[in-house]
Amino acid sequence: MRNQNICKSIVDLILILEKQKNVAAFHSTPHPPWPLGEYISSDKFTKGNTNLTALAFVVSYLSIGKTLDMDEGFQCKIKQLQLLGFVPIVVSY
Amino acid sequence: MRKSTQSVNKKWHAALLDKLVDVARNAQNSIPYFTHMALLGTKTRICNNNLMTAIVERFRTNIKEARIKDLERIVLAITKLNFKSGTGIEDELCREILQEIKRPERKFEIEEFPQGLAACIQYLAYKDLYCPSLFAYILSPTIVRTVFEKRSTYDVTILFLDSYARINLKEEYSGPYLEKSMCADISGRLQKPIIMDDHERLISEDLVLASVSAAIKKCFGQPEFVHVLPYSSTLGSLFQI
Repeated sequence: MRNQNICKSIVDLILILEKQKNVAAFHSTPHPPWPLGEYISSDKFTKGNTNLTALAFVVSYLSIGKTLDMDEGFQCKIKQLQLLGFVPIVVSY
Repeated sequence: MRKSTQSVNKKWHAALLDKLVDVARNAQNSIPYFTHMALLGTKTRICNNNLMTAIVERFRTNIKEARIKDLERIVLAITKLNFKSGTGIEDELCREILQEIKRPERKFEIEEFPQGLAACIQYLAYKDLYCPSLFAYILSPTIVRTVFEKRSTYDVTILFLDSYARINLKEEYSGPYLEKSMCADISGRLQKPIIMDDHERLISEDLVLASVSAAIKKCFGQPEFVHVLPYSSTLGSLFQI
């Protein structure tokens, strides 16, 4: 049941974002598979000549007693995704 | 207790940490004693603020007697538990640790235990505390080849340091990076395959991923999964374009 709610929330979010200009999700843009170990920055995502805002969903386990205070290693990961140009969306369970 | 994880009753564990506060405040033992105490909550992710405050204060008083291993472990505990004292002493300690490991007196210890240094600068980097020259030392081809190439326990550490240098420090770091082939080897070891079909084998985070994927596929077609950060195994990133 919890997973269904998470799914619904994410899909609802995507639908909302998709209505905004220059934010697109689920439009398939052909690109080569990335080699292992190489970093991907969001400027590689385009549709025509337009860069799309690329979303990165990050799944996180919430530790006991903490709500959105994820550990600093996780926060560092989120910041790195932002530096690469992604919009991180954290999905917690 | 330090090594056990989900088998420990968490309420019992939290009560034990409470009882240790007075012990930590009054004990006169050496620093490694406090290191073990700091690590007690890290597996079960239970942070006792009073206990951690007492331990951090002890470290600040006796930092010079701490081994690299102790310094690494206290920073691990602080960052893993996301410990916030309210007074900032944990951040002060981390800054002091960064200065401490740069001291010439630590040179021989660092040469003997580069793995400890690597882990220490990884955890300090979580707090945006870093020294480019230490990154350059750990990522130098000689150290990578002799220390890390064949030790898979340090895969995440060495790949994280490379990623941090490339992403967070790209404007100010001019030292060596890992070779592409090594990045590929390590991330190949680290990255779990994304399993969507066999629900009996899925753990919780995979179940979430599988559920999201199924919902997206229904609405928009097959989603695409990529490991954006090579050192991240799976708990991971998926994105759609």
